[in-house]
Amino acid sequence: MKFKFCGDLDAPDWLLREINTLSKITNIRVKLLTVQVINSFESKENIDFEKIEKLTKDAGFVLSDIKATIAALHFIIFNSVKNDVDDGNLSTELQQLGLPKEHCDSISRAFRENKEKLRTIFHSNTLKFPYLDTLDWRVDFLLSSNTVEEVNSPNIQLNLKVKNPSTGEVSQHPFEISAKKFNVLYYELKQCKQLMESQNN
Amino acid sequence: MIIDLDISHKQDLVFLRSQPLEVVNEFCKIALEFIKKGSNKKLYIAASQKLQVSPDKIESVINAISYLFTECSRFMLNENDFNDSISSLKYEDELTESLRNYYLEYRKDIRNVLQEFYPQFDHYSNLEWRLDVQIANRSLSDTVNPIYLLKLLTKNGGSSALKEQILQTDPNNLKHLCNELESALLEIRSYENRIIMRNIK
Repeated sequence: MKFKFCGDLDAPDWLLREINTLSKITNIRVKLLTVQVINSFESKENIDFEKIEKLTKDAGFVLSDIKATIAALHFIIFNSVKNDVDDGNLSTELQQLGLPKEHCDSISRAFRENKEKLRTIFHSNTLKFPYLDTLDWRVDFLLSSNTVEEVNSPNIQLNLKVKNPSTGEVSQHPFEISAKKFNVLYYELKQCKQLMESQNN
Repeated sequence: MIIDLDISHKQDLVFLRSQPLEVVNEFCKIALEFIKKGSNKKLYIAASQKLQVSPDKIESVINAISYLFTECSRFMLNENDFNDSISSLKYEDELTESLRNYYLEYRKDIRNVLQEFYPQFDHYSNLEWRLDVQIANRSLSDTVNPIYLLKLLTKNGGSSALKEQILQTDPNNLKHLCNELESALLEIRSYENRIIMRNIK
């Protein structure tokens, strides 16, 4: 069966098994657990396990059941945000998997309240490579050198500061470039800029 | 199975026959420390002064005991095999029993230390991906070229630093890679591998 919240693919077998486990807890606790999972996405820290244990205490869960429940909720929320599903559709699809209606509705409600926030967080988490942080420049005019008495040519010095997002460190790349070469560079970059602007429209 | 002790090993261990039980216990403790942390010359000098023998003799006895323990731990000898292995040394029963107790008590620790000598490979830690479409190039404009960018993070050992590899592939190559990995996973279900798995359990 193809599900939209799984990205138009089949739901994984382990998820189908965990629907059974999820049905054992009450409706309200499922909503609170979903909120905990959503909070862990926002704060990027690991989930607060003590709160989870308190919520699942009465259902008689062992450690592996608790982990399985969290994994299932994590999968549902993560993939629903990623594939931009509507919360009504999410509720219907979860019911098709066999989860009781009240549980589906509470998960969908928690999802709807936080969907936009999570989408912006996920967008900023996209894979990023080292990027240009700042560009410093300086234009010099060379007068003379020990080999030739009059040089009289302009010269540009650039310092590119590149930041690596995974380590946070900034590496510096200073270099100089002659006026003629700089013209070529400028011309090519202007072409790129035109292309980017035409894509934006 | 029984371990055959070679002649030089036996000569070193014969020394223990002449010592009282407390001294033998001390030797065993020093040998265990030697296995876990390496040799401690000061202890040898102190022991040699107490027992009126040269430090070299003490060192060779410690090495002999450590070697005996590591070989026995390596093959996971049970009590009877351990007794049979050192029966050629013709120790008294008390001495044999004390050595055997030490061996059984610390066998697990010794095996953990021995495991650390195995070369460690990098382990998979995380994989992030991104799909880009290249629309133009410095030399060629108006192209459509989908490219997958992958960031593979690997870890060596428990707490060491993450190593980052940035890779690039086209969609066909990625599909081929996935197919190969899936067929590798299916291998485990083949007839020969199922027999092997049954025997390991």
